[in-house]
Amino acid sequence: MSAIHSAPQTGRSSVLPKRPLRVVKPGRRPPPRVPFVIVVSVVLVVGVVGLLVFNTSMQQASYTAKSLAQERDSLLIKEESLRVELEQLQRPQSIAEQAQSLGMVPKIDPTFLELPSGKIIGKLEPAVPADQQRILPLPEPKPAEIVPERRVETVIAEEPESKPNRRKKRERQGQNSRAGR
Amino acid sequence: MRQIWIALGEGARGAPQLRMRIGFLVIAIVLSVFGGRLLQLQGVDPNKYALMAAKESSRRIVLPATRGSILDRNGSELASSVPASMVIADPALTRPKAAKMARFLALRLDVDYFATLDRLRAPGRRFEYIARRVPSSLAEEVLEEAEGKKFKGLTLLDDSLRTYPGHDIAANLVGFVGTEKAWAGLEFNFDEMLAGRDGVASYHVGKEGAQIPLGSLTIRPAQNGETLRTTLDMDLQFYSQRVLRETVENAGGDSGTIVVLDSRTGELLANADYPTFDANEPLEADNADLGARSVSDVYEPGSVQKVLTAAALVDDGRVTANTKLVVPGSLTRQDRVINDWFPHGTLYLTMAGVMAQSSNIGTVLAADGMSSRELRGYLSEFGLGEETRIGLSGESAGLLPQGDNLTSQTKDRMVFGQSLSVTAVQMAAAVNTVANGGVYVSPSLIQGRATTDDGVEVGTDHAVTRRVVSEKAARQTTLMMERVLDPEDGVAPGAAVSGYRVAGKTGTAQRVGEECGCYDGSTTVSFAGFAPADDPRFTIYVVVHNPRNGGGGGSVAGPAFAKVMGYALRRYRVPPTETTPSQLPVWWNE
Repeated sequence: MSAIHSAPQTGRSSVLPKRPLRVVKPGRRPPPRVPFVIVVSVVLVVGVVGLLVFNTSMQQASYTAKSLAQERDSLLIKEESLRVELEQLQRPQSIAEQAQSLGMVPKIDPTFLELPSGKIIGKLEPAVPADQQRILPLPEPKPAEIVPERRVETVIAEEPESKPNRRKKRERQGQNSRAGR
Repeated sequence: MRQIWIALGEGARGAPQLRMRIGFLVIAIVLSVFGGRLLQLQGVDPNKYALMAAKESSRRIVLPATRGSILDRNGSELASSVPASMVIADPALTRPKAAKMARFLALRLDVDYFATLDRLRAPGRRFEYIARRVPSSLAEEVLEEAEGKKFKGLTLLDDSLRTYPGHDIAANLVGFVGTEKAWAGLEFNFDEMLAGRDGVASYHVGKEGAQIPLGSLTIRPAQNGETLRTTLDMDLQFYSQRVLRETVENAGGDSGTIVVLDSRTGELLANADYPTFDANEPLEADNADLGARSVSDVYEPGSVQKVLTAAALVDDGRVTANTKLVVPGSLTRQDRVINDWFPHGTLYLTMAGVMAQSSNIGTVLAADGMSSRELRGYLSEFGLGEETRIGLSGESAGLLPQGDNLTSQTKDRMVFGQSLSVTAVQMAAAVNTVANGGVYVSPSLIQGRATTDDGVEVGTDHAVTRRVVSEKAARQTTLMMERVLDPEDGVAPGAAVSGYRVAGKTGTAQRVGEECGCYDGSTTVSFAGFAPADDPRFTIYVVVHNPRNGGGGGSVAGPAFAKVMGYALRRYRVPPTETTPSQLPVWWNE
């Protein structure tokens, strides 16, 4: 093998100008692999862990968002029910009822006090109980007689009779009642 | 030894091919399995699998649009929508305890026990409505209780609930909404505008129904309904309704109406109808009471009509307030005799006196110079015989005779309010023309503008004005109307608001009975007027149908007018004008 390879070398050396042989500088040593592997692993691990953490936190955030949304909903519902309650209290009807329960009466004829002159426009008269405005409907009219008049008929009890007599009597009564109708 | 090596070498040379063949075969088998599966998934039944996948992980929810509120002029809510919930059951889970659950739900949510029981046990179903439009707070409470009782399979979904905070306040105008649709009033007429459009959201969910972050999410947001702002004043409306109820009840009447107009703008500040209903409980009311009688019911206006006749006559130069008239005890005109409401001999009344004493005969005599056609022209300009288009459905146009029906006899009766019919809002707007210096303003109920479901634009922006009579004629008519409230010479001192100049006119009209189609002896009493007379701010019209206490316009409707007018003047801080009231002579001496 070595013989075959060495032959062209000698041939070339015969063609090319001859150079003096010198020591070839040792080639650059391949960089150590360990740091590279470490760097790559670290990048990988950091990436994977980061992604995992990110994902987890996103999931966590979504749960938090859901529970916060629920909290918001329940607060909204609370607000709404309070608002409905407020509306009930603000109703003109309930205000009027409360005012009346305090003995207040609306005044029909308005009177004005002009400032700063202190002049009174309109007649200065206090409201009277007769001015009271009825704010509740009249109770449903009841029928004139809830319990109908009792009809009393007095029947005189007769003395017990013998059988045939009683039968005759009953027949007569039947005729009578039919005639009555 | 060498031969063995060769044989082995040859064998070794053949082996890769075999291995490759076997390898390819395995690959082909695997691939064909994949291919077959692919064909099955994509070719045979692709939708089923896509659906299954979607069902597994995606949610599609309806985002309900909130119905727009109906407000009064100050922003108080006449109708509002509050968030509510619908209670949903999954019969697959509720079946085991259906009976107990149905009892619990029937008690707590006021639903039908048997219907609920059927729904809780519905075979093969996974979704059943149990109750809709439940106030959210109640729904949450019920669900918590159900969890406490270990009832499974109930969930809540968003819904919306319509409430009417004022109950009966303006109920006849606002109307109401049923479970699925609007039934009456503004709710019905502006349904599209108020309802808005529901939206949809679909997204992917993980376990426990939490949305997957970065998962696909599509939303078509709900378009909430628009707010409808009316010209009504809730407090004044409330007070008018209470005064009206008391008035009708005390008079033993069938029904009644009070219309309060802003004299300058024609805006309806209040429009009370009685009997009315609680808009939150419309089913408890009589069907006939659900509409707005003030725009749907027509009747003969009676003597209030004399205001329009007098204004027309003065405008046309036929009479003045001082025109002297000799009024006989009765007047025979072609087909019948015209009488006054009170028996009298020959009276010497001025035109103002004819108004103050409400004499039919005097009015007919004063109007003799005017042709029926001319009179009809004036009345039509006053807005009679034409819908007011305030935005309520079921409105009537009233009846103004025309063509062959418009004879001179008809005209004689029209001048004092017979042989023609009106709605209360129409009549209020007509009288308001005099208050507004002779300019008719079409009444409005909606602030700004709004489009009804029929595509008609209504509202204050579309209010029309037109001059009907001259300012001078309007002023003279007003002065004549002031005499109606005179304690000595007028017929309606009860309508006075002390300290103020008030102009008004009573009306006591015979009613046409439904059965006989003739005057049946019952009456419609009314009072129309405005104040302050020399600078009118409010025009108020009170009508009571069929009072059984024998009262007339002055005694029944007058005091109600005074109450509402006094309230309106105080509420809007209108001080008395402190000018000298009308002193027009009522009588004259031969």
